[in-house]
Amino acid sequence: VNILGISALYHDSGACLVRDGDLVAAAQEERFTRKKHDAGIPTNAAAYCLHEGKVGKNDLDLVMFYDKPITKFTRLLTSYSEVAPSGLSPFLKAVPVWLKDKAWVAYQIESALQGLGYRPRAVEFAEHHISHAASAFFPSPFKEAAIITVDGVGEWTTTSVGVGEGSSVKLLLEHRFPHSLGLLYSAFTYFTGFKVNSGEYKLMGLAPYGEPVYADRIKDKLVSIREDGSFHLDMSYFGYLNDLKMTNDRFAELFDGPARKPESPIGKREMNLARSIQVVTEEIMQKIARFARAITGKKNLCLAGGVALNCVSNGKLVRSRLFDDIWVQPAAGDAGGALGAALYAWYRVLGKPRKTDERHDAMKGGFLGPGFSREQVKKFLDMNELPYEELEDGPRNELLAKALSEEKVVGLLQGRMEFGPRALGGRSIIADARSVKMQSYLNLATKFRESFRPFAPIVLKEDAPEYFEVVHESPYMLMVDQVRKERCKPQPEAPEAGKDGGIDLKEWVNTPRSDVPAITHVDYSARIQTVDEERNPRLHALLRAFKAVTGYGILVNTSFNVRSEPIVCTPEDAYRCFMRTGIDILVLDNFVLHKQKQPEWTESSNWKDEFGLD
Amino acid sequence: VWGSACGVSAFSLGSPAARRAIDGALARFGRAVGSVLGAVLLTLVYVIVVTPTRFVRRLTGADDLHLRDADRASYWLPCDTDARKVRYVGAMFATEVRRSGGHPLRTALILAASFVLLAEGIARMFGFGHPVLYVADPDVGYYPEPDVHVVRYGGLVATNRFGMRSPDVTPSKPPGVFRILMLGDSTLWGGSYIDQEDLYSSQLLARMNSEGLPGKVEVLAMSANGWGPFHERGFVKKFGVFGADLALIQMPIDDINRPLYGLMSVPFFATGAPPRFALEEEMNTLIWSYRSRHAGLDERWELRQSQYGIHEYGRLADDLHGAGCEVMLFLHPTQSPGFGGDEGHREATWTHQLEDTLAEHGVKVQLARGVFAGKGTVKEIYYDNMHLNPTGHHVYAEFIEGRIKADSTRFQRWASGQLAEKDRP
Repeated sequence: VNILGISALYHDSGACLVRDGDLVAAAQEERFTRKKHDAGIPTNAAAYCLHEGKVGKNDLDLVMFYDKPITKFTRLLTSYSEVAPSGLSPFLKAVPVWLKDKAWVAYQIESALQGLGYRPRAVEFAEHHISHAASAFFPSPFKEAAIITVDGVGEWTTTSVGVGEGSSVKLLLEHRFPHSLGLLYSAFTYFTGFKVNSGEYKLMGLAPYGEPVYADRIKDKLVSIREDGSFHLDMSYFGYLNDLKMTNDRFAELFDGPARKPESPIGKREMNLARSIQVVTEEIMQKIARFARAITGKKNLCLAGGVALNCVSNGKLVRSRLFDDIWVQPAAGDAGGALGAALYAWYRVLGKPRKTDERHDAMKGGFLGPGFSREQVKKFLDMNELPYEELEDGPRNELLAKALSEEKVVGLLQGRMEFGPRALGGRSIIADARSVKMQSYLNLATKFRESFRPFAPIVLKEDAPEYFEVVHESPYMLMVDQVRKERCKPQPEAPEAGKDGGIDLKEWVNTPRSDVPAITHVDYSARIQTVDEERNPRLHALLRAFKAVTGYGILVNTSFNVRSEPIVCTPEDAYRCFMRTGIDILVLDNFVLHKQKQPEWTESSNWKDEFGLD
Repeated sequence: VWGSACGVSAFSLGSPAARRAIDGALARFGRAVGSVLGAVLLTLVYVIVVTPTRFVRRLTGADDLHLRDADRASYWLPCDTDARKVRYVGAMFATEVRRSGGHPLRTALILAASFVLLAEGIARMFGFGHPVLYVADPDVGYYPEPDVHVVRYGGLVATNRFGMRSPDVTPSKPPGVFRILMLGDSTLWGGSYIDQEDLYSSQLLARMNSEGLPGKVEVLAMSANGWGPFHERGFVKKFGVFGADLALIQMPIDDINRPLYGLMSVPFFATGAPPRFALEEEMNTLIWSYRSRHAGLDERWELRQSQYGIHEYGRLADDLHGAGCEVMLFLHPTQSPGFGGDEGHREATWTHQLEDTLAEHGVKVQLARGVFAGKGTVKEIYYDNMHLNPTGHHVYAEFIEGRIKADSTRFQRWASGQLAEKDRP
């Protein structure tokens, strides 16, 4: 049975092919269209999945959409009828889009698939948080587990607690719009000058620079939190019900002035706000987890939804030891809903049995996207007359290890592309974690992004305890842990704000904090990806080669893209990014390209204009 | 405009680039116009539908967004069952736990009030709340208010200065005009809300004036729902015959059972006391209908009253003759005789009695037996067993015209120019 899961029309659309319960392929549309967070019908991603699975034109049994569009529209209208006559602006903006596009999603999907030559036997719809819950539980290694899904909003649900057992997923309790932890976090994202549905990572990364001085104010005024983790927002501070903005004047008054303008200097207030909302988020997540444990009695936890990408909160959940084990869906955002919807159809709707060895998850390391054969890569290089050398894995790794140890930056495209927001070594930029200048260099010269943003380490799984306190397994880079104390170095006081209120974060960032400073955040934390031989043998071998040269089985790993650009998909994307940025060496599987040997790269226009602000 | 259009067309024909630019500009213009129109339409929806909904929801205590229940001990809400979610996996809507709707009594009251408002609005759309009013009169009983203009079910109901459903006329007949006065009940009035133009009196007026006659024919249709011979006689006594040459009494046979009564016996509103609400008018009709059904006619009463009624029609004929009119009586057929069938026993008996009585007063009863046969289906002709639909009115007008031309000696003389003014009322 071939089931195609689809998520689309809001943000991060994606497609996933499940055949007889097996995850065959999954990809996000943005990787093909090169449009960050592309929300369109994922025609390219669906085409890839169907091609990867070699699905015959008449063999597509079911298409599952990850959402219930009519209920979502009803929620929209109900919200307007709660705030009218204010709220006209968002009404005028939203309703035409709904009437024109979103209400006809089934037709759009069928049309797109017919354009590819497929005629699905049925199109069905799973609820948004059911899709998230299914994406969290079914691929997990657990036979049974508590489930928590938290995001901005689905149809009505914003947060849910459920339980997974065998081939069933049940949601027990929920929060409904507008009371949303995801939207609360997004309100602060907006207020601190970052883009909603995109800049939440930045806010999380900014948090360690600040102090939680606003946490009590948030809890007193914005959100009432009960001991069972349930919460209630005071909507008089928020704009998203009746305006095109997330927050309103009352919110600004509460937090000492207007929202920060995008791209303006970041001041102490923004850092403190970031830290405060992070602390509140963690508190709520802790309480929800404790409650979930109590009402389900399960010893394992599965997480999904956009808030489950808050790896700082995830790390604290792990360290709290509320659960024996925690598994987070790597594509926890909306794209992962496609995967969840497809698995829900297989296990719950079709009632198929589910088996797990309780050790391995079903995500195949997250490498569910397109891969390129030796012939395809070689053809690309030869056609474009690009100088390269082809090396076996051993020599290649030795060469790369040496280059990395000399502070060279390597762009790595090997095997299949990752599904989800994280680059896990398939489409990554890697560098030496010991380098003091590396964080600043990668941010400013390679990725062209804000200097304060941290980088994550990839570490040999067997070496993780040498570097980190508690988290010893995190194959999908979804947990933050503290760098071991003995590796850390004392830091000077935070720098004072300049005349414009901004703080020179570059200087702060360049202060060494440990013997692996490039991956040690200012609070000595790090977002860890452990690499094991079973899931990711080639990356594991590269880390071992680097360790052989330097004694450190750890590297910086960041996504292979620049700011606002989707992660690269094809060798062509990778080469373009390589030539535009400060990457020194490009690896396309076994082909190695050195920057200094490449022909001069020219473009007719400023390529940075191609991508908007993220 | 045409000049500009031709100029732009010629210009665009000469250059593909210009054509593209013009196309683009027009497309942008169209898009802008569409956007503005869309925004205006949606704004109207927001103001007219969404905003009132907010206040209704607030009154009913609805709080779907849980904005007003911050004091709950826990904010968790139950999810719907897994089984229902699976069952409705094909649907584009999500299943949800059914929640109680707050205070049932308040909700019921608000819903009832909303229903009443809605019903009032709908009734007003059909013209209710603004009915034809009636003048209460001790001699006539009641008669339609003069100079009325009401639209009901899309049909115009208009009266002239005398309360007649006819074009306005002068009190005294102009020279050279042949004037016909029609007296009758709801069948003449058009009780089934027949449009003014479709009434058989209006049709008769049109037909009579379409041929080469020596002068103009005027048709004065004086009638009211519920009228009988006593009302008609009262009207003639009080207001005269307006110089009519020919008086046509229009009646179904049941009219013989109608004594003189006033507005207290019919569901009509008097001038000076119109209904304040559309629903008031409807309720008034419903209550009257209910009471009539449960306080209906007794056979013995009918037997006695019918004799009075037949006698009164004779006296009406005398009054009309006395006023100088030639008199004809048209007995309006029910469905069966209208299509050539038999009357019921009671109807037949009364018809014979009426014919005999009227013959004594020099009037021949004209029964339109079978006149509708072959002219349409029952549904096309009749609105109910008695009242006619527009098609029926048209056919009946033709019948009356024919009888007038065949049987009215005064009309024949006038039409042939042999009727001297001194012989006319």
